[in-house]
Amino acid sequence: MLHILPHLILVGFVIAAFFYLVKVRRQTSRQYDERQLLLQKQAYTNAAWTVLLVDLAIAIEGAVLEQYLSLSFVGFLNIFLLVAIYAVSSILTDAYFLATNKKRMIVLYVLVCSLQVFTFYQQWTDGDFTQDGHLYLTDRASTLLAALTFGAILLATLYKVWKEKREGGDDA
Amino acid sequence: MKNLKLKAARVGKDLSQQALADLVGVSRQTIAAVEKGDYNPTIKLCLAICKALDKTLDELFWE
Repeated sequence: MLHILPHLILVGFVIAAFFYLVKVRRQTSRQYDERQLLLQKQAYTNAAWTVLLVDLAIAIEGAVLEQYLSLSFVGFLNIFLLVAIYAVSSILTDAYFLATNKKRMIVLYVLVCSLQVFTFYQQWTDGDFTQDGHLYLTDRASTLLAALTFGAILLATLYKVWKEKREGGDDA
Repeated sequence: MKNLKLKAARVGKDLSQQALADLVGVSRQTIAAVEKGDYNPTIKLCLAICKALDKTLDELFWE
């Protein structure tokens, strides 16, 4: 029973983070201006095209990749790729977050990313990602994808915070 | 192309980018993008900026 405790905590944390993000989104959605909405649409489009191209590449190289990736992992890859490209693109173009809520979001990203890295490390040491001595990523590797996604979002947010401080917040 | 007329009008009114953004209901980054010429605003936003700065469309947005 005790060994599934980290997974239960992780699931609970991810669900809580999801509802927190939905709440933040509802509170701030009416504050997006015309430029931000336009750039968010462009980010959605870029994410969709990227996922389509990745799926096409996986389909072409399927015979080789099926030795390393399960179908369920590719499904998770699609979801996390969509989220990562949309979020990073929106953050870099100032289309997603307002400056007022960046700090608390950074804390949230650090927590989620750290927890996912820790869980992935545990899974790795348990030998969850090897099959006949070879690397084989299944849906359990979604922790790695989550860590990479939130890591990328964290870096993009930190970069924007640093850039805004450097520009002095005015007359950029 | 940078919109120097908009920047001059804003500075003339002693407004920061954030203050102007608050007046017209957009983000500071959007005002910065318009001034830098990185974003072409809609006529609705142009009119809001003109009203906030007591200028005409010609004075701020006509080449």
